[in-house]
Formats: sequence, C-alpha cells, structure tokens
Amino acid sequence: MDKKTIEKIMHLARIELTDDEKQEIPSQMEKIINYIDNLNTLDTSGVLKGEAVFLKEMMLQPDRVETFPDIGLLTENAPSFSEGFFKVKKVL
Amino acid sequence: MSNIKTLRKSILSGRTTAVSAVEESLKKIKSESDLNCWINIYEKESLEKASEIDEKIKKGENPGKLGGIPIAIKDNMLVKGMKTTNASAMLKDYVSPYTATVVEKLSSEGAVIIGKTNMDEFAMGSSGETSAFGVTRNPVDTERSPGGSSSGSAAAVAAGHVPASLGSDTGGSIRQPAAFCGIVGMKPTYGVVSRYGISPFASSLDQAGPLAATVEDTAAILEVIAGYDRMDSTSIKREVPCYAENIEGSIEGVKIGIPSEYMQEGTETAVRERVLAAAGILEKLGAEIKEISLPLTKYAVSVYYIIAPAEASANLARLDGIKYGLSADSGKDFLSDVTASRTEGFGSEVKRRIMLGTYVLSSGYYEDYYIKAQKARTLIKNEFSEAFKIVDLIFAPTSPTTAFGLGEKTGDILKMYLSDVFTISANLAGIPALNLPVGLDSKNLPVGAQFMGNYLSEELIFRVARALEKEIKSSEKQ
Amino acid sequence: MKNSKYKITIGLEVHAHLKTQTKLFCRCPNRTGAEPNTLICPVCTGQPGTLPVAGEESVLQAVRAALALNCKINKYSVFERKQYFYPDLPKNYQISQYKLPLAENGYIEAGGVKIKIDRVHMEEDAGKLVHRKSETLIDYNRGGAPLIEIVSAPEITSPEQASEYLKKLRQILVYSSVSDCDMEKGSMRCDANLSLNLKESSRLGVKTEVKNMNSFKAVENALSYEARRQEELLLEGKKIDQETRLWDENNNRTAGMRSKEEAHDYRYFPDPDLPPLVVQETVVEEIRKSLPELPASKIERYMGEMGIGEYDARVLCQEKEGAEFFENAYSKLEDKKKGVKKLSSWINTELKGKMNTEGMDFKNIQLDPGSLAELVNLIQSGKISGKMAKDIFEIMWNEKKCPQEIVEKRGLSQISGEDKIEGLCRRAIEENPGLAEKYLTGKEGTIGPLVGFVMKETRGQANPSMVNKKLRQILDGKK
Repeated sequence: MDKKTIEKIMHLARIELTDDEKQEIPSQMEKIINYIDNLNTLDTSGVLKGEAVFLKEMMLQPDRVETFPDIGLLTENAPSFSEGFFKVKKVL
Repeated sequence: MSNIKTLRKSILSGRTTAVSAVEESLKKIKSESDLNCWINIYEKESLEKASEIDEKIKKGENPGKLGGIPIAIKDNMLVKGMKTTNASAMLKDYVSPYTATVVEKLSSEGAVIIGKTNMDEFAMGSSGETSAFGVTRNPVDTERSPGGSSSGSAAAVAAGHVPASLGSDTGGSIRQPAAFCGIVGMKPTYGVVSRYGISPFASSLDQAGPLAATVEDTAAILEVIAGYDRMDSTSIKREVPCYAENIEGSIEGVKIGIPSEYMQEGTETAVRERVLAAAGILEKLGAEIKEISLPLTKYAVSVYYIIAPAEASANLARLDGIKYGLSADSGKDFLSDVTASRTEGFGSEVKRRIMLGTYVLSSGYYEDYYIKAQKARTLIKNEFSEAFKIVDLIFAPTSPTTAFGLGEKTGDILKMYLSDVFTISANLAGIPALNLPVGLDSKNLPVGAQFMGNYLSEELIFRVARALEKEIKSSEKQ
Repeated sequence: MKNSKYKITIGLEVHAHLKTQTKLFCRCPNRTGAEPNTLICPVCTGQPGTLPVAGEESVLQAVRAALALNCKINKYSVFERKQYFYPDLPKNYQISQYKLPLAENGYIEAGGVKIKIDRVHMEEDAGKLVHRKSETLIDYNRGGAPLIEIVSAPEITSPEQASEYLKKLRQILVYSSVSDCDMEKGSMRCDANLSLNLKESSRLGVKTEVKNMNSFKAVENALSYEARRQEELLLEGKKIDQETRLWDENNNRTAGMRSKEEAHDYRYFPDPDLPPLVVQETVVEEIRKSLPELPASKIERYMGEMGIGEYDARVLCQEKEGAEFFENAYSKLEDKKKGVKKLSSWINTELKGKMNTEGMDFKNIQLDPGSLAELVNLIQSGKISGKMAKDIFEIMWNEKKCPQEIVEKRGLSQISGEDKIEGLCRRAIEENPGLAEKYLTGKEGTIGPLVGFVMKETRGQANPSMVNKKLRQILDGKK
C-alpha cells in the first residue's frame, strides 16, 4: 500500500494520522489486506449476487406527518447554531 | 446480586423494594469503580424510577415484567436527555435527543436503567481497550481483558453490579466478553431486536442483545427488547415468543453439531476440553452429538474485516462536528475543520477501520474486496443453511482462548482481529448465537461455549442452553 | 450550429421533487416555506442510531412518474449510499439508487422525436445552504425530501430540443400530479452533459457538465453558449476539459468550477439499513390504471374523435387543467360536431388571451366551463353573433354570470326574424343608393358596407349572414 493510496484514503475519509499512527496504521493495514487476500482462494463465481442478510422485504411507512417534538435537542448539540441555522465556515 | 427471577419475586412480595435493589446496585458500582465498567451512572434518575415502581406495587399496580430490576446498557444506546458517548472523545458531550427502542421497551416494562457501560470506541475492538474512557477490567482477573466490545456490560454483570445488561454484537461483541467474564450473552437473529437508537458499527451485522448471569434471565430480557419496530426497516414483523416461559423442557433427540474447524490447534486445549465435556453432558441429556464441518470458517475473518469496516466508514461519516460532536478549528476552511474534528475525535482503532473501509469501497477495489466479500458472505450463509438441514444446533467454543491479558494483543492488530474468528460467522449469516459458561481453565478463567441456531431458533437455543446450564451448575455443587 | 461541421450530443439529468406529505425516509413534513430547521427530526439530521424507513407515497409517486414516462418498473430496486462530505448532507452520504434503479428504459416524445430515458431513480434531497460573506448557514428542512432523478439517453441533438424535452417532461410530471416542477422554486432542477463530435464520426467527444440553469430559457441559452464555446475550442485545435461548468445567468456564459483536486470517488454501496425495494406487479398495474390520460393520448383523441386540428389540440393540452376545462365544456356543447372548433378557438384565443392579460391560469380562473359552452351554443344556434359573443364574454368574465342571463337582461338577443331583417335591409338600400347602384353594376364588394350599415344600426344584434343573404336577395331581384 503506497503513500499515495494512503493519502487518497485519508482524504476521502477526512482523517489525518498522528505521527505515531503514521508509523503504525499503513503497515497494519497492509498486513490486514494481505490476510484478507486469502479470499482469492475462494471460488465465488457461482454466486450471482452477494447481499446483506435481510429476512424480509422493505416495509413502507404510510404518508402521515409526525412532527418531532424536541427540535431544541437537535440543535443544542451543535457547536455553532444561531439565527435558526447550523453554521460552518464559508463553503466555496 | 441475585438473579432477575429471585429479585423480582422479592420486590413483588415486599421482602425488598426496588429502591433498595437500586441502592445495592449503586453501592456495588461505587465500591468497584476500579473495574471502570461504567461511563455514566444515573443515580438520581434510577432512584426516582425505583420509587415510582415501589409506589406502583404499593397501589397494587403491575410494575411490568422487569419492575424495579436494575439494568445496565451499553453506551452506544441512546437515552433522551442523557449523554451517549460511544466511548469516544468525538461524542463525549453528546446529549441524546431521543431514546433507543430497546431502552423504551425496557423502561416500559419497569426496568431501571442504572447507567451506561464502558465499551470499545464505537464498538470497535475485542478487548475493551480502545475506549476513550480507559480500559475496562475483567472482574474475574483484573489484569485481564473482559473482552469487547461490550466490555462494561459483561464486566458489570459478572461483578454483580446489575443482574443484566444490554450489549451489541457485530462480530462477537456480546458473546466474547460474556465468555471472558463467565456469564451468559445472546446475539439474536438479525432483525429480532430493533437497531433504532443504537449507534451503528456495521448495520448489516449489528444486533443488540442481553447479557445476564443465567440463561433464564437472558431470555427474560430478550422477551422484553425483541419485536418489530417500524423505525427499523430491517426489523422482523412477528409475534415475540415467551422465551423465558418456555425455557424448561426436554432436549431429547435434539441434534447438535460440533464443527471440527472450531476444535483445531488454534483453539486452546482447555477450551476444547471444556466444550467436549459440555457436549458429553448434552449427550447424557438425550441430545444427539455429531461432528460437522464448516470449511468456510477460515474465510469469515476476511469477509468480516471487509464488510464491517466498509459499512462503518459510511456510518461514521456523519461525525463531522457540524450538527453535534467534537468540533475542531483548523484555522483554515470548512473541509479542513471537518478533517481536524475527525482527526481529534477518533481514536486509532476507529481511524484504522474507517480507512480500511474507505479503501475497500474506493474505486478500483470495490469489486475485488467488497463485492467479493458479499459473495463469500452468501456462501457462508448457505453453508449454515446446509448444516441446519443436518443438525438443529451448532455447539462450539465462543473464543479460541480464555480472557487474555490487558495489553497482550494491542501490539498485533491481526492477532486481535483473529480472536473474533469463532463469533463472526453468526453475524455474517444473521443467525442467533448464545454464549454459555461451561467451566474454567487451569488458571480458573471462564471458558465459554456458544450455541448457534437457524434463523429465529432462539427458543430452542434457550431450552438447550438452560438444560446444559442446570447440569453444569448441579455438578459444580457436588 | 446550423452550418457547423460538428454535431451536438446532449444528455439531461433532471431532478424533480415529489409531491407527498412526508419526506422520503422520515415522517417530517415535505414542504417549503417554513422557518429554517423547523421541519427536522433525528433521522433527517443524521443523529447517531437513526435509520431510514421509506415512505409509501414517495415510492408510489416515483412509480407513477416512471410509468408516465413509459419506463419499465424494476420489481427489485436497491438504495445505495453515495458518499461525499458536504455540509448540506447530514450523514455525509446521500441515499440514492445506483446499480438497480426503480425504473428503466422509458421515452418522451418531444418535437416529433422519441427521446430515450435511461433510468428513473429515487433519492433524498440535501439541505439548503445559504452563503454569507464569512460563513455558510445550513437549513435541513429540505434535507431528506423525496426526489426522482430522470436521466435521458445522450440523444438530444440541440439546445432547442433539450428545452422541448424539458417542457414535455414537466408537462407529463405535472399532469400525473407527481411534482410541481417549478424550476424557479427548485422543485425541478436540470443538469446537462454536452459534447460535440464531427458529423461524420460516431464517437462522442469529451463532455462537459453544465449546472445552475434555473429556467427553460436558461437551459437553452446555457447549452447554446456551451456548444459555441466547445466549437470554438475545437476549431482552434484545442482540447475540451471534462469538467463541471456553472451557467452564469447575468453574464450569459458558463464558467468552469474550481477544479477538484481529484475526481469524485463516491464509494457507492448498497445501504445495509434498507432491504431491497419490492414493487409488486399488482401495484404497478393499479397505478398504471389510475394514471390520468396524458397529453400525447389526449391530443390524439382530440384530433381523431373530435376532429380538432393538431395545433389547437396541442395548445388545449398544454396544461392538464386547460384540457380538463376544455373537456368539461365540450361535454356541454349542444352540437358537438359543429361546436368543437369554435369552442377550442374560444379557449385558445379569447380565454387564454384574457388569462394572459390578467395574469391568471386555469387553476384560479372563476369562469365556469359550462358557461363557455353555453356561449358557443348561443353562437351556433344563431342567437348571438360572434361580435356580441365577445361582449358577452367580457361580462361573463367580469361579472361571473352565465351568457343566457346576460343576453336576456340586456336584450342582446340577435335579430334573426325574417321580416325584421328584410325591413332593415330595405332601409339600408334606400339610405345608401350609391352603394346599391354599384352592386347592381357588378361591383358586388359593396355588399360589405351595406351589411356593416345594418349591423351598426342594430348595434351588432342582427345576424350578419342573414343580412348578407337578404341584401343580395333584394338587390339581385332588381337586376
């Protein structure tokens, strides 16, 4: 796993690594990926599709409004909330 | 602390009160704070709730199936107005705006939520060591890990702080700590318990379940928390069986398979011996024991460490410091603030898994990893279906080892990940599995064995586990 | 681009906001105009532990739209997570459909050409960002609202056709009551992909994506601009960058967005919180049956059954309410065969003209279709003249009265009694001897002014064709 790949992943995931983590995480990931590659010895060609375990179909909800009564609790956790808006630095 | 059944009788008959049960629990928690199995204790609220229950009983009203029983919940479950930290610096101040369905259900049956238990950060870990609130210790041996990620929920029950707790199990996070701490823990069939209000680790694998000292108590809790929830699209619509009521019964003729893959050198000798001894008891009780083979077991860890991090990487993307959670100022632009918040908020294990998950989903790798893993998962599922045509239950070690020492595996991540090898398959297949303590090893550490059953076979699992538990306990007394 | 050596290829991606009571994955109200962050709940603000549960009406509306666009509905479709960090996206992923969309393989007829629709899929809307000088404000009210995305095949060959396609698409979605499709209000949004290639070549050129077009006109202008811009670059031998460009309405040009450091990698994967969406054949058939008659079929019926000309039929069907008005009035015509042309021209000319000047539309006019039919009936039966009808129509519009009542109250009934007409005509000839003389010498054109005289005398109440006939009869008798 090269540096460029690691950097791309960090960018996509919006995560940076501390100096210690930079020492460890890439090589650990490499180790895990190497292990995971044992899957290559498994023949999955006969499997049409893989999917999560769902023991049911989608259940749909009727079109009835239910207003959430505690909107204040949704905004109180926000690091920056005023004038009715969540706020961030200017997005270009 | 006595078990639920006894405690409930005492409370109902007036021999004790809910308040004194809660007081006893709180006292125990405080005197053993060095175990570090709690993140938040709801002292005031739980005493209030307990006195409400006592009032009800005085008035002759029904206090509910769990009236006055102190219960602990893992700190990834939301309780409105209370903090839910997920044992992460990211959410250390997050106040829940709503209550998880499982907690609603417990409360409406009169259970007293004593507080929130410590866990691996965002349920990522197998040892209780990744918590931002410090390591949880195993009450059996405080130098050892209680297992993870529901480390506090297992330790609190094993230490007798509470008769029961809730945990969540993505790859063994209920069963493995239950095994390490010597208690019972069950991961139900995927979809039996609502996930609404439980911070997800990996949505297609997560399932909440009870931990308790006995099989009966475990069943009693599951009976309360199970059931269809319209807030969870993956929840199964079906009447909840009376698990606890139907627990006693013959196991004559029940076919039980022991998979050879779980009983090889990688598994400690003592663990194998205890499991075989337990199988002997089952046979004596009339069950039919068979050796079976689950050859795909060797791929389970690989499949799991693709799917779980992939889902987790998306589930944890919402933690950006905008709506809630830790918010760091990068001194630069908005996106840099998000990166700074996530970098500061997440611990190393969480970062590692997010990165792994991002990698396996990124373009160029998606087919080779994610799709491949999903197909392998289908094969694993099919392998279990085939096995359940031959046997009714599968019986196997929960973990290849007994509780390992704190710090013993933190240096070798792969080794840590491989310690989940026996628990992961049940999550991948979505089937129910229960850990039962089946004795001790030479260091007096508990050995756990698990029953795995076909979809929605919880009742059978409880009945067989109960029969085995009874025999083991009576032989211990002799 | 008429004389260009390049041809244009355009593909359109249209987002339409579905009309429902609730959002797609939670039960918050799906509406606009509320105070910011008041139509929100734990689910649509991405609180930990929340889960999406799809709303039935959103699914039915999406199926309705897809059927109206002649698509095949997939029995199984799958919601996936499209991942990217942006503050209007509370989960930092959008639940959308990718590999298995709700519906595929439809088409729209626009300007006499069938334009293929590749797919129609469902997804949740993002929140709204308000940009200020130093900060960006986020309102999650719109976040989670149900959308469909309609993706055309890259088969559109001109900006005009693109605009025609959009108008048709809008018409169909509005007809089906699936969406308001108001581009100005953002309930319909359109992104376009445009590329040029040599006319003799079948290989498509490098495309650019054009966004931020907020009206049909803007789509046409932006795409024309973009086609010219690409052509100029190609003629200079330069390469086209594959990029996203924003239409700048004020300066009439497209401008490249600041280039992203790396191409998007959305890391789509099936949302594990949502089992596959199953749409049963019975549900599809039920919706198919309940679909209103769409413009294409109406036009055909108007032309065939009713004998209306194509142009008039199209104009009548422009809006669902207009067509309904027409059909309602038509049912009340006494002589349908003869009256239908008059009725359609009255709706398309007089009524629409009036609506235009008064800024009204079929949704809010007070005029009853039955009374317009009555007016046409009066004309057909000769009780009133066309000229009188116009006056009566004015009164109908202003005073909301039915024409029969107006005619009776004001004594406006047409003079068509044989004797009365004859008397009037004789007087006209007597008082205009010059005109009569000329007619007798063969200049038959003078009949016009004579008729005019009678009409003037009767303030338009005489039946002009009867007057004409009678005048000729009298004068010809004198020859």
